[in-house]
Amino acid sequence: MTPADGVSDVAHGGAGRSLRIQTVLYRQADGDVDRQLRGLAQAVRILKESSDYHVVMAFGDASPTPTLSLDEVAELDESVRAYGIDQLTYYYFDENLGSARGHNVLLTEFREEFVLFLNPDAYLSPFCLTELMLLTPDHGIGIVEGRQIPLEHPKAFDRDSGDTSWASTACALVRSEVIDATQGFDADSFFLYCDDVDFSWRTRLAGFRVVHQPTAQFFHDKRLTLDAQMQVGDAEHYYAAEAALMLAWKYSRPDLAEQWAVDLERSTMSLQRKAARVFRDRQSNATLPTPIDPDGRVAEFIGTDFAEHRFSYADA
Amino acid sequence: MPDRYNFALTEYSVYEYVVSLLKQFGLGRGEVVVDIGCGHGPIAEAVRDLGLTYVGLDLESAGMADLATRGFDTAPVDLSSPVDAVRSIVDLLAGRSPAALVMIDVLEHITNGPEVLTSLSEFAIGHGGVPLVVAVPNVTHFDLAAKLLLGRWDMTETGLLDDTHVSFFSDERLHSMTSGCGWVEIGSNDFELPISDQHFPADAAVLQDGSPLHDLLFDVRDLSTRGAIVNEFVRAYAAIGARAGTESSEDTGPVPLVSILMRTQGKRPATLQEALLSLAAQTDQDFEVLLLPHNVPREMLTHARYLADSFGEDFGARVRIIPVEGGGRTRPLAVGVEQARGRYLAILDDDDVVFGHWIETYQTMAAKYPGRVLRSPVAEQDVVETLWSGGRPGYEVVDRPRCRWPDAFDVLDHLWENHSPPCGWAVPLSIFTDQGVRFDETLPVLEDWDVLMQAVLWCGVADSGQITALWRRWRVGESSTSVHTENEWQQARMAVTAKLDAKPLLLPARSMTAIQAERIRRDIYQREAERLQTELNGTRNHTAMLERQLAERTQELEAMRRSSSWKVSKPVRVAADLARRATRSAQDASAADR
Repeated sequence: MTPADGVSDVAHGGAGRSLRIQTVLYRQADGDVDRQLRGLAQAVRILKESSDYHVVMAFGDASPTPTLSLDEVAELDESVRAYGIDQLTYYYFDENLGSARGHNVLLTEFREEFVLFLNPDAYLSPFCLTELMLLTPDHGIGIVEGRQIPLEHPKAFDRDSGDTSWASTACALVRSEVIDATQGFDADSFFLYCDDVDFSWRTRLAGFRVVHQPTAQFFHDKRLTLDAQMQVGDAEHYYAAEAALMLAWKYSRPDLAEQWAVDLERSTMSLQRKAARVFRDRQSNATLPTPIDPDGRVAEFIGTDFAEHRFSYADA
Repeated sequence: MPDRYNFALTEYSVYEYVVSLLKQFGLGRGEVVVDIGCGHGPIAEAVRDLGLTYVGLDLESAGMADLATRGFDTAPVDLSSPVDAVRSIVDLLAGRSPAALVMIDVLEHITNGPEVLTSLSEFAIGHGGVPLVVAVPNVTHFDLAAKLLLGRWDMTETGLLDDTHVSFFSDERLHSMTSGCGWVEIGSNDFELPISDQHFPADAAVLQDGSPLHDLLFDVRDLSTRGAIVNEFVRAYAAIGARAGTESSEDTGPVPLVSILMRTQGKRPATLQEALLSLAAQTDQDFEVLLLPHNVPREMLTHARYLADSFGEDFGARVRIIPVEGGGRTRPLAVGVEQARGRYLAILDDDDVVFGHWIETYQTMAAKYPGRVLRSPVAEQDVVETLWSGGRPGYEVVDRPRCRWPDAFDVLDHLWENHSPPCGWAVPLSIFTDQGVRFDETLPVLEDWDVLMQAVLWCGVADSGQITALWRRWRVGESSTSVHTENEWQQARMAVTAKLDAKPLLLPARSMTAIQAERIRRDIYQREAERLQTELNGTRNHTAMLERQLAERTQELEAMRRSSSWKVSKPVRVAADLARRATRSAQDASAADR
């Protein structure tokens, strides 16, 4: 079951309020889906106590083998209805699309007023959806980002307005107009990381605000090494490096892209050298994204961060 | 019974203790005390002296004949048939009202104790709730426990291990049997003998008060259940109706792996919600939460219930809210542990948060190292109080997590100070239920260290080698550091170490190596200190010598200046000085020309 690639341009919304929740799965551990649904079910239940929503949950699976069988999907669909999730769908992509393209594929069936992008290792507080929705009456707000625990994102945000440079799509509520305006994620440039930074910045370029809602909590299953560093896998080493180069290039900072590429070429990590090679190849083939935001209206490059940070997870 | 049981009521005997309970519970109820299995009736005269009538029943005739000669009514009884036994009692009473039933040293001689107790309970209820006083030897006396460790089980003619005993009693078994047979304990007057008839061989270290081995083992026994030095349990019971004539058993519902004690003062709703969220998101849900609101208003309890239930029916059912009033910060832990049901006990305060594998890690470790203290290093993170949108109280993270505590547990280091925040360990509940450890409410702080040390010294520690929890340090906002004075911390530290110091320390294997390493390190530092001291002394001596020489030269110079020849030669010195200056000026001018 794979919907047609590309983002739908059908009209969104209807008489009642509606919400689509999307998660892209990849090699999940046993019980991960159940765990996520456990939290989600309560958040939907409490959301529906305050207002009538039509809620659809969509899983896209980029794993080498399906995470769920059809029977399991039917069982889950049945069980979550008790909590107010009106429909649960599961698409097996049969290839590793990455999060950006995976979400885009799922967005082809987006007909609702809002979409919540959710990481597969995110567990919502029962009040998370309600808190995210609190800010949506302001139509100038395009994306509302939840606050992740136990390891809070260090990105700065305005304490009064919540405005922030970009929103992590580990848990972000997006207005349908934003999808219309941006056509979703730039999956040609970003596979796994920084797709949300780019998506946020294009949202802001389209005139919407991106805000952080600290009271919308969700548990993001990140862990620490023994020296209290964030645990990072090989995929992050590679895709984070590749995405950073793409981001700098796309947001009209070829100087930074060049400097980082040179640094990565000298890295002791082969995955980072590989990221630099891929960038060079695309540079040669003229397949890099067309630069935008030439005046730096939205893009922020502060050191290797894409926003001002309140603290750093890296050692000083 | 043979004459070996012809004991008299003497001062400080079990019979005196029985009579004392009779005075407390048998007076004013009826006229006759019924002594079942009376033997020679050592309490008969004492009962009569209370103004009551004594009657005795036994299977053996010798004792009853003795009683008859002393003027007391007796009747034969065969307890192998409880119904007949009750009939014998009724016949002997002949319409008189019973004041109390007594069974001294009987239950250990019969194999159908539950049936007898059940019949007696029914009899008691039918006769106005007459009480029962029981005396039975304690097979868990420390002397017996210690001797078992020596492989000894010395049967004797009389005493704790009388060779005619067919049933053996601990405090728990006596409670279980009587309560299962329709009796509820209303009083106790246990007969204690620190040195029992089993206190031999006298020179065995395990039996000698003051030997480290004895003191350690006695501590273990004494802290576990009551009765370490009880020779006979002497208890009074009221009849409440028999259930099944069997010994009762505990509720055997599913036992969670971990009981989590979560203290809250209701001051930080945001972090409480997050602490619960981090639990609801655990990969392993094999736990229960005992949420312990301490000195909070009633409406907060309603909110806490709503909050817990918001995480779902299953989660809400595993959160028990137990309000706690009074006491210090240790009180909620002391209350919570009494109601915990898990195999392990963990502490997670309402401002801490755990990673997704906190319980899963304990599960893995418990399977591999059952009964040990399970310990993980903890990261800490600085936070400050702030207000979120809508003026809601929240907090803000101001720094990255750090781990300043060691990855692996070191017991010697922990004797000096605590390096293991409470959210990083779980202790077997058995240390509380079986070994009598308690949270010490006299400690205003460091109560966690106190329990941890008692647990690790007995249980040992298994290290996970993974950070599984995040401990919040409030840079701005109330915390135990800001609320309690330095003096309170110091006093608590002294109290914890004094408790450890008062008893023998049980250190794990390879502690000798660790202590030797410390000793070697100390010797090295000491030698280095001595070498530096010698060097310093030498330097000081040399400095003193130079100072002396300087003083001598100064004196000589002064003496020379005061001399007449110095004064006479002054013009010559002035002329020489002027000549030196003129020569220097000429040299400078010449250099400038070049």
